[in-house]
Amino acid sequence: MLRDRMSRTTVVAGAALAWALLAGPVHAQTADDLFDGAVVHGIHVTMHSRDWDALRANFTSNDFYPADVTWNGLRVRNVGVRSRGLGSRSGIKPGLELDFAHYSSRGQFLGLRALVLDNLTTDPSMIRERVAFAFMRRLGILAPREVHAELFVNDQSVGLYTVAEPIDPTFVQRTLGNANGVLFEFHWVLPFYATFPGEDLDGYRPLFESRSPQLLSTFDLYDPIRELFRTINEAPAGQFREAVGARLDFDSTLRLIAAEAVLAEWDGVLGYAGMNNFYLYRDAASGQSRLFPWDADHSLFAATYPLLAGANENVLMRRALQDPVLRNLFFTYAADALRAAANDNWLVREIAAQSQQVRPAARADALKPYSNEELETALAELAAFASARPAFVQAQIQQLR
Amino acid sequence: MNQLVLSRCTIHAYVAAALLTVAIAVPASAQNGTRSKQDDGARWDDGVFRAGDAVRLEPHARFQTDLLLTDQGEPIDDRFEWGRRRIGLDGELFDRLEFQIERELEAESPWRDIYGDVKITPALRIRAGRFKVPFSMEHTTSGFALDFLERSAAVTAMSPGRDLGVMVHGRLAERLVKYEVGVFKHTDSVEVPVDGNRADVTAGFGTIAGRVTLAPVRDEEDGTTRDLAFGVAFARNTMPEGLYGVTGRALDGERFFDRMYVNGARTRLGFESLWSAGRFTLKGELLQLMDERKQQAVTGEDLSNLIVRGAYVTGVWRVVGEPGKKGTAVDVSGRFDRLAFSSGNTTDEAFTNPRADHVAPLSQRAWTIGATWTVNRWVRLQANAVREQLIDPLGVRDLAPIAPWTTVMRLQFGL
Repeated sequence: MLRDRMSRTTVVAGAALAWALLAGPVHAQTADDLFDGAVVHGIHVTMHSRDWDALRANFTSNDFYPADVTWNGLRVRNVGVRSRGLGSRSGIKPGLELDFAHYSSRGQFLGLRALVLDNLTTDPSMIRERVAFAFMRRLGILAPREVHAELFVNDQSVGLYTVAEPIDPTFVQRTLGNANGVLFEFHWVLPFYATFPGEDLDGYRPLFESRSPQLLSTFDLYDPIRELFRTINEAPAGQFREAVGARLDFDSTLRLIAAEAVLAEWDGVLGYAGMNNFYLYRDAASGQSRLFPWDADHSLFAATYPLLAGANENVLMRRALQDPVLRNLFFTYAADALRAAANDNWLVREIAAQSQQVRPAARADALKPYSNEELETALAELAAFASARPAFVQAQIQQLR
Repeated sequence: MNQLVLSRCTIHAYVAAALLTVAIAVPASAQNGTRSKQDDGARWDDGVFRAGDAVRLEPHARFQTDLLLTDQGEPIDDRFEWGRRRIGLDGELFDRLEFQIERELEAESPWRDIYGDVKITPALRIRAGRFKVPFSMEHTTSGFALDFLERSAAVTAMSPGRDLGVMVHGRLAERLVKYEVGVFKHTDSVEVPVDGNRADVTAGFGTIAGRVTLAPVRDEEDGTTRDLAFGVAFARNTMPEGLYGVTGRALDGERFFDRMYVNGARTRLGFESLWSAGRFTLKGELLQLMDERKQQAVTGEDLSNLIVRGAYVTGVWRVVGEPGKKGTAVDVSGRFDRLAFSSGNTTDEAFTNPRADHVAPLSQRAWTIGATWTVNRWVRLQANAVREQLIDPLGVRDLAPIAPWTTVMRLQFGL
């Protein structure tokens, strides 16, 4: 009996050794592997069944629940999970935030403090945002990384999600090299067109929520934002570029607005109902602010969406376009974006590739709030958009420049 | 020294409390004059109604008002609040049955003690009704007789509340030993407010509790030691599955340790001691509470036990007044207390989540210095300064700053 047991042990050990030798050196996985867009990933969340029931029942709440998260064989324990989103909140297919540092200030996963699992309930094509962010990164814009993943909770499929890198101090550190400044998430609470919100600093808090860990006074947080919008609105025409430029990085801002314009983003910085879906980051050294894009699932709206839609209503953009240097800069960046989309049919190929990649998981997603026919229609519309949009944008640039 | 400017509203509150106390007190004192005329029948005797030797009824009313002396930037009315406000009736019938009825004014769960206590022999008494579960010396001390404004954090966090139950108690060996053993209907309170009154009496499935104290020296007038006592206490119940772990709160009510999921046995242990000599009294307790957490891991497996430990040491110096006696007195006092949260598993990586196997340890330390002026049997004035500190030895929390010193004054009226 003992001999049998030893024999089995020897066989198992030998097999393990052979496997290890064949497998070669262990590859340490990184965040780049997590955001490898070549595959649809699998994210496994293990939660107490009562907690998962509670999260779905109270999906409008931001309460955190503990969970273990596994990706590609890597398991991270004691992760804080909460329901997230605005109009996309769902008790059937919840959008989730995974906060690796919620239960320990030292918590992280592949160098990330958090991840966003977008439930894709507001985009029947399920690929708009990932296409948009990939396009922006192609242009050198600091946009979040994003991939598709199938989510499993307690080994039950919850459907197709995107895994997005949140815009937080970790993102700022990665993209800018330091995160010494202050990061704000913009909240749409009313149509806001970059008008002057007023002298009361408390009025800025609902619009701009601090996402930085520093404990700063209301004055230190919001006085620079007040002065930014005061300058945008009150600087004399001849001094606009210089005065606003001291507080706002025009280069990155106009590059982002131009990219959104080419992508026909109708709910972005120049959104149909005012500014929306961006973060504002104020650099500690220069005092200049810049914008990061967020939540692009309303991009690729229509091939004939005007390039300057929303520009006249927005004080910042209206005045920027009145300045010859800034106007030329905007159209230069729009032309750059157009070339990036059209060269080698990049936009057509990207949409086709993502469509092909996610189609099986998207069709199998039983919890998505639309049918497979609607999915296919939406994907076909995006393909048509990619074909027609460059010519329309080209004509608009020639006409408006 | 803080400059106090009492607003009209605050003054009105103090005056109202004083008038109410006096109004209740007047019948008692007025009736004192009739005592000699009615010795054999019904009579008032120093606030106590007696009908021969068969009936003794003692109504009482107690009011506390608290004033936060720090945070001078806040309006005074925001720093003033009513403390305990209670009315009640104690009594004894036929030299055999004692009883107590007490309720809060304007509280969500107003009823406090409602019980009868049958004296069979000094060694065997039976109490039934709603009353404090016998655990901890400080917990079983009335909120109107504390050395400080609040009980220690450990006692507040770990003591069971009041409950419906039956208890056998008495004194043995010429009062050398005092024992209390009882069974109670429910298991535990989900919230344990400062006064120990349970907020939710529906959770759980019964409690068994006992407390034994040994007092080898009592009221010794001649020796160096006037009083010496030791005691142990035990309580055990079964907690239902849920977020029912014990919380930790700072003096201002801010929660610094959130509830954990528990499921299974809750076991409390306590050790207490008291020593007094001359004008000085020293007392303290060691407490431990342990919760089982069956099937509470995210995978549904058992978690290690949740462990809460605490202790306090109190020293009281009687500056004015007769040591060990009631009456007009001035006491100065100091207390150190500690409350610590941890788990049975201390080896894996620690986390703060309510299903963590290794709960990141966190402790609260508080130093309290105070003075109590007992003006007479009706009025007592207390002031405390408390320094609190939170300690996160593994540094896994982003602890919010807490006030280094909190200073509170209390005016107490009682009959």
